[in-house]
Amino acid sequence: MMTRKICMIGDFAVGKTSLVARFVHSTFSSEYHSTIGVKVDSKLIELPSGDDLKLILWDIAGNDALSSVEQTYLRGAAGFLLVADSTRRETLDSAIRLKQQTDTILGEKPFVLVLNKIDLDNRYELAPDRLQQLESSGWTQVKGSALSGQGVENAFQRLGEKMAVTL
Amino acid sequence: MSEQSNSPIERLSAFLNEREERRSRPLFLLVNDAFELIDARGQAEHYGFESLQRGQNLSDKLLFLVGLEDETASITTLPTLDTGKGVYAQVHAVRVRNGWGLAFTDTTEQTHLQHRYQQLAHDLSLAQRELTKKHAQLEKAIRLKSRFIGNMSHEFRTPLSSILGFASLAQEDMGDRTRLQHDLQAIQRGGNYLLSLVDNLLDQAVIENDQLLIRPVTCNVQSLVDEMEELFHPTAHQKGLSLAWWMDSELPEGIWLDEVRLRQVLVNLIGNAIKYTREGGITVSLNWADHILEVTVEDTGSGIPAADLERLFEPFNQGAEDGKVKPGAGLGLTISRTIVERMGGSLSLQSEPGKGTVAKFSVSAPERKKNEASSTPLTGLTMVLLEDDPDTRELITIFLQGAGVNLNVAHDEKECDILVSRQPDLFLVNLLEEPGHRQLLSRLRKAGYKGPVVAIGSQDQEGLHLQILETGYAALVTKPIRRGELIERLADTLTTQA
Repeated sequence: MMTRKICMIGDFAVGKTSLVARFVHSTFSSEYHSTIGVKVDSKLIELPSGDDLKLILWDIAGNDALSSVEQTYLRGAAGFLLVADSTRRETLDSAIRLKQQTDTILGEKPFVLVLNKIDLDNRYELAPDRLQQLESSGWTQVKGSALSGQGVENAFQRLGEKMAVTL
Repeated sequence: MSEQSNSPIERLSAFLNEREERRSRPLFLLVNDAFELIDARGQAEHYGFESLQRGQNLSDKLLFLVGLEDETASITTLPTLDTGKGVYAQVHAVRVRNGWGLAFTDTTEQTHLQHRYQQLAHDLSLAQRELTKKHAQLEKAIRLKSRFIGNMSHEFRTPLSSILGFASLAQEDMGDRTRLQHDLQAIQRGGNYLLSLVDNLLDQAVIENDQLLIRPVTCNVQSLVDEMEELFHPTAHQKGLSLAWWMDSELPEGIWLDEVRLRQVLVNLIGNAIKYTREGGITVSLNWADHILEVTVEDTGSGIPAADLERLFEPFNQGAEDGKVKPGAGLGLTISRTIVERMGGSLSLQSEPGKGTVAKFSVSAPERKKNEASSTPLTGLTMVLLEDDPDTRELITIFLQGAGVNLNVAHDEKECDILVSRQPDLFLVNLLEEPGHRQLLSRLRKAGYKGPVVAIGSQDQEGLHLQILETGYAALVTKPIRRGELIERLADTLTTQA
């Protein structure tokens, strides 16, 4: 069975841990607990080819830039899920910066941008033209909610498929 | 250097090593490339490795090694790995031939400290964000306030200059009755406009404190309509607009509602209609059914886009025609809606740009015939008036003497004491600042006066009104003093007291 390491990357409190909890354990907690260091989980997905792919998920503490320690955590990653909070426009700026930094460390790897907390649509802050611009640059975007589960499976599945192409 | 095994240095070293080992709880593992255990030493169970045996496959426990197979670094350090049982470890992974050497040490305590610090930093960051937002709101409020003060200064100056100008003209026109009447009407219009501005400003503060007071009296709607016609006809005529009234034939002569508030709402709505209409006219309809009064003010003005209709009910928002801001405080509609709601009704706007606007409201208005109303004739009654302001004193004197009251004017509190001996039916006194108003009442009671004491105040607030009543005053009359209201309020008070 194929196994690939992926990292959750994004600013603090964008919902990386919640997305992993929803994807791996189908749970959600509204209480915020900042992540320290790294937590590693795994989940099996099925590729369109029928093959199974085991994703090793590295949930890394959030920040608007990667420290040297966090850079260590990226080692060996085959792809990453870039997470932004759709109710805080500055987290999309962080995601763009983190993507550049990740590219420098890992080289260009498959990734998917998740616009999380889409359930709070009355507080939506992301500029449509900005997202349009990113999409034109080839950024795969998934609107999701760790609370409702909307888009979560899809985001991981699409990342898995992208990585499968490069297997 | 001593080679003795029991030297103090060796004992100290052994003690520290033992303590460090207890604290860091080291675990050493050796696994092959298939993650099968070759050797283990240390506290495996502390890190979630249960009953380790040689050859045991640990791939599920060593997920963090996936992807590191091709790493060229001889040693990889993971400073804080969550092992899943509330235990955090620092892990050193060394690539050896056909496998891995791993060293775990416990970092739970440091991690918890770091976690607390990080959570605090997060909370601080959220607080800072909230503070920034509040700061922006405050700055906006200050900007609005400054603009508002600027507008209001201008607003006050307009009627004031008209009042002062026509007052000056009136002195010159004393010999010409027609011109004098014209001057006085202009002064009255300016005064009424000024009053509506002040009323709206005060009411906004009162509404914000949830202290808007509704005080029903027997209201003659026909008289009110006549008054409105008199007030607005000149302005409408000046703009070339028609002002038509349609009154339901079923409308009773007397209805029980707060006349002052009804007048205020009508002034706001009709004033707006005239303000935003350039041609055509305004039609005001009054219907009465099932003890509900429904009023419609329809204009042929510029109209309002649907998206802006609700925004107009927000305080300090002014409608604009051709992008030009119109005069006023931008409070009329906000206050009118609150008043109507407090009177048991509702107010709505319907509009179509280019065609005009219809403002409609309904309020509870039970029929009340004049003779049903609690009315006591004032003729022949004796009253004492204590009022500091000479103009107000004179006005009240004229009103009450005109109603047949035998009025005694006191110039200070001592004179009040003396006038108690004349056994007046009522004291009408200027409302003093706390505790003055309590002391005055107590003084009158000590002097032997047992009748009603009515206060003259300048603000009509529910809190103030209740406070006055609790102190022992029989009623509150508020400025500006209007003849009809004053007489009715005093008559009601005397009837209630009787």
